[in-house]
Amino acid sequence: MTTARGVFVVAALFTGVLAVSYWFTAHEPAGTTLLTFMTAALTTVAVYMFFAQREANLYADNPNATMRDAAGEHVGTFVTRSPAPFWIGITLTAIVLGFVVAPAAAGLGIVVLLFLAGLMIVRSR
Amino acid sequence: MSAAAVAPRVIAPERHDLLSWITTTDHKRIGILYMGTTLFFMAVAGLLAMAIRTQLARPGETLIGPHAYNQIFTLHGTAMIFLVIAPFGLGLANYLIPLQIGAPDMAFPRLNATSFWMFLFGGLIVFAGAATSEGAAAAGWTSYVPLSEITVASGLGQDLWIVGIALVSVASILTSLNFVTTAFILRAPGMTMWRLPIFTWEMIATALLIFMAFPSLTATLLLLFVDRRFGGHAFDPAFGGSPVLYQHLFWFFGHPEVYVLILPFFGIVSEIISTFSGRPMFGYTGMVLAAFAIAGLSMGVWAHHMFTTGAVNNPFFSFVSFLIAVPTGIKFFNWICTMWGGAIRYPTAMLYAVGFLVNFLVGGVTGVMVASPPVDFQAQDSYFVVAHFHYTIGGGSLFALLAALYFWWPKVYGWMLDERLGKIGFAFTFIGFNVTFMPMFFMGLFGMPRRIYTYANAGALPALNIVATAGSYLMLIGALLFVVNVIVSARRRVPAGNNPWDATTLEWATTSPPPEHNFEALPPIRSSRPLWDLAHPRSPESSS
Repeated sequence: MTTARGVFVVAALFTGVLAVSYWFTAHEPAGTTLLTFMTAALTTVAVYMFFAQREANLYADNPNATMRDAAGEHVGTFVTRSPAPFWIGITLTAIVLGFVVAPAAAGLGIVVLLFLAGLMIVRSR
Repeated sequence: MSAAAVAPRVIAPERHDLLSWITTTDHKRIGILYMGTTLFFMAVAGLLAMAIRTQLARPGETLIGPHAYNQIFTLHGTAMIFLVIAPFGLGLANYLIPLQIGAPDMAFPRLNATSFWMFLFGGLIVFAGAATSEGAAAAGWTSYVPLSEITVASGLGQDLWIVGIALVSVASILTSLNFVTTAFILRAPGMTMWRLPIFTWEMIATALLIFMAFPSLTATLLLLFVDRRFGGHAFDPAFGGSPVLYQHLFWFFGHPEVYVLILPFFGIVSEIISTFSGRPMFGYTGMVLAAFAIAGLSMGVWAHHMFTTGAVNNPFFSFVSFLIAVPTGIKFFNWICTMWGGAIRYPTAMLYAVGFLVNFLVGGVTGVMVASPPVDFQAQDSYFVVAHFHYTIGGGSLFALLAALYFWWPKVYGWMLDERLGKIGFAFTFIGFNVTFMPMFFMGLFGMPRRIYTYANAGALPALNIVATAGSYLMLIGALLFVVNVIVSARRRVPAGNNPWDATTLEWATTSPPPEHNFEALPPIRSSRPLWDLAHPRSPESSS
């Protein structure tokens, strides 16, 4: 996790330096704003990972770990099928097409999307 | 060998009917769906390219009118960039990342499937514009304003382009979230970050780029849509808006997008060159750091597409653009050093990887040329830029894409593609590609602008254009040979076995094709080449 966090820390530092140097060389607001937002977003993730790292105890980060070390009573489950993604895709398509042909119709699509999202959250518990 | 069972329980046995594909959340099936969809879009975009080249074969050709020509090159560029090259990398990563890190699936399987359907429907919406009364979008893949504003492009095609690409953009962001979380959290015990295969590292860098760049695209499209449909004036200078602002916002996404189009393919080529040279990747750490250096620097070069606007700081963007050549050069150096002294084999996948090196070098060097403002002022919007871009993305990414198909096909389907047909196809594709695009450098230097449906019957332009068109038909033969290869090989079904190439990363440790839960057992992971360690336990180079 240290390396993973480092990716975001270094990226945030780099874009921060880029934003400052860009402003002082170009004095151009659009690019400076974009770079600043990007720095803020990366910093947010880096800070989150700083706290998340305290909770994480990954066997993957132990260079000498074996599968046996990670074995336990709970091996986990993965859902291999769900109808929700397809219908969410259809609904999002209907929403964006609604904005093109009849913006009012897009509202109906948003309601359906919220229903599907709620259903998926309930079903995934 | 000490290995422990890692198979998680699955909810239901594997099915293969149509409904099971529509409802799947298995990363391998989603990867296949992604790659199959991109190959479909590539076939359509390829046919559009053939129409372009046929129209340009002779000056004054009347096969396609000017408005239809604008739509065709817009759809060709849009499809290749948004719906083919980048999503193929995402599709392959979908298939490979969990396998390469020893995970049973992606971190968010439902989100993964949702991303695919958004991508597919977004792509279909873009093409649906062709069925409207005024035709598809015709403002180019960049959709510059004012060409894409309602005052110039009043048809629904441009609106459909905007919302379709917005869906694809959001889908890419969600997929990247999945990649990064999976690679960070779901690695098998012992698979430390610095033991990740190069391809997985390249995909992490790509995902980071998508996080940073694609929100700008989504926001730009939203602003453009509001301008068109809800009376906004963000890009309308008559009301205080700015077309240059559109270019800033678009290229803030657009140039990093070029590296989203190439970084996954750097990973593919690295895996293939290492495997067929029989050696570990030379300078593993350097390769990883170079990928992130390229990703980082690419965020600071967006306005080198805007040198001629006179509204940007040309020295700043020129300098940063030149800098990108350094990490890219490190990658080239490492690829060559990996091959140097290796026991090199040349199956079709390796031929395409070497073809990638040759073509991408031409694209990269000419990229350095146009990073210089004085040269760019001459080459801007000419066929020189078309040639440079196609050498980078066509000769680079597309060749790596074909290399990936030949390399991982046995893993995905469990049977081999025919090598003889593959090599003949490579010859047609490589020669055809260079015959098509090399003359375009000269066309550009002779002053032929891009995005024109005909040209003057003067100088060398007619001869160069007929040569380029002939080359495109050679490429078409190469593409058809791939289709023939798939059909012939599917009938023969020569079994691949688990590891036909003697490769060293984890995806080759499982069956071909892998089971739904990926692995029955995992070998110990003590380096970035666990299968090599397993095969050579007594070697001093082995980490186990």
